[in-house]
Amino acid sequence: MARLNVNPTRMELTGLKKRLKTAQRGHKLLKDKQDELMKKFIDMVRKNKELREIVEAELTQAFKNFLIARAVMSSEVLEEAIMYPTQKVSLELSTKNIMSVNSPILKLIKEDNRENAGVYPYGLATTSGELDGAIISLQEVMDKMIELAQVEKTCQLMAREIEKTRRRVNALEYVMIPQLIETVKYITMKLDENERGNRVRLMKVKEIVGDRT
Amino acid sequence: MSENKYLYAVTRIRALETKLLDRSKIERMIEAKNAEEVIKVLYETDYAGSISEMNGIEDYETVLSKEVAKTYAIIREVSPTPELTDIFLYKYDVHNLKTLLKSSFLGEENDGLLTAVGSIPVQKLKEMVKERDFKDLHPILREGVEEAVAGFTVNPDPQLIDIVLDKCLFRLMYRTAGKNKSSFLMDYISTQVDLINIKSMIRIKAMGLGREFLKRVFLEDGRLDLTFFSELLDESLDILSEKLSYKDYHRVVEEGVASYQKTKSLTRFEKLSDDFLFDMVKKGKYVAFGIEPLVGYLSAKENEVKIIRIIMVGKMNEIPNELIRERLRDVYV
Repeated sequence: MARLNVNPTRMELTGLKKRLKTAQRGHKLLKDKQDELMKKFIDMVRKNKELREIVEAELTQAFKNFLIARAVMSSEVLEEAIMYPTQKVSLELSTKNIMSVNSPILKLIKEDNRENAGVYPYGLATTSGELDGAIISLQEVMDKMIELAQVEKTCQLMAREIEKTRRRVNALEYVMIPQLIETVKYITMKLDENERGNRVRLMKVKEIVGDRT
Repeated sequence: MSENKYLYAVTRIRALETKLLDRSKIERMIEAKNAEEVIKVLYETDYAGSISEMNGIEDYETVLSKEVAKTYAIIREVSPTPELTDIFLYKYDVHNLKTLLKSSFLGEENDGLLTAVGSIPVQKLKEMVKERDFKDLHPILREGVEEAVAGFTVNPDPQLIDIVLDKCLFRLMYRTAGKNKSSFLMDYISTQVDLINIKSMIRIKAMGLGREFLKRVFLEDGRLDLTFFSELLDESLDILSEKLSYKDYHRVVEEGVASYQKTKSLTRFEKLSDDFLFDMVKKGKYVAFGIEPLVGYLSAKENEVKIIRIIMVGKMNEIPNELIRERLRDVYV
């Protein structure tokens, strides 16, 4: 294992020891964060999968209805029927902090621009009944789609965060900490060696001085 | 003697009738592997002319509207009683009016959605909507458009435009038929209105909207009145088919309702009512001289266009042949 390129002095040693302590503490914290993130992430992914399946099933149904309506009515009539929407929607965006991940929160705001509620913007006489089904199922799936978007984005952001944390944890665990330990050991040994050398020299000097007298 | 004026028109129509698609052609189209093959079959028919101008498969919609326009042009040309044949054009006028009104309220231009088929030129309609000056329209239509515009300014509900104008459309059609004393057309229109009202009622039930709404969309000029539907709105649909069992279209209602209860889809009902109306018209084939063969040809052509559209949409979306066949309407020939 490579050690850091430092002067083997006592000052460096204290510095390094401090750094080692911080690294170990950081490692522990990050490891905890990673575990927690992982737990949340798995929950989120499971939720994502469920939602996606529901949304996809509902969308398929809606499109199927729509397709039939499309086949029975001419394109001009169909487009005329749905060209003027009865509702206006806007999206409100805020963020929530999950384990330092800024995940989005989407809120759908529906504005009805007419008095009596109802999502059908067309008259009944010239339109096909299949269109009702398509419109209502699309209307119902809308909320879920927004939720799905939110969950899916959160999952993506979390995955990225997990990856980043893992890289950090690994860097600390397999590079930083061993390196620091190695270096601390090297300096300690070097210092000890110096100490021993000194002692031997001192003993030798004492001996010579003793011989002379 | 008055029947003599139909002499030329009917002869010409009879000649054109032979060029309609027959069952075997349609069968071949259903069996075709993909949309290109369908087009190939169409090449062998009367459609060849418009198809060769097509820029791609997705363009089939324009071909179809061109064909419809062509048919109406022929009918207008040969018809000795344009008032009667115009009845079938009103729906396009109303469609254009709806589109223009909605576009103007949205502040958009949607000229692509207009059809050139109507009895009133599109350009003229456009000016009318722009100037909000409808005095050149037929009084019934004018009344409706003005009502729609006034209503929309109070409560911006696009549905209102559709509802009011649909009502006018059928009133106008029925009145025109009545004025010209065509019992055949009056019969045809009132049956159509009845079937639409039945369908509307079923849809209103499904939407969960109440009597108030039924009253708004109800089309008069049918043979069943509002009280009839109003009473049935809270009853189960079985009672509806029971009550209508004396009508000539009771089979449509019975089967349509049964299928609706099973699948929650009105497709079958719509198909059956189209077929029923078409059957009424088909009788025109055996009338030697009169308005009937003209109407028959017109409906046959519209029906044909519907069939082609269903097949094309089906083929482009890879829907199994049986499903396509289920939705197809009868053929005239």
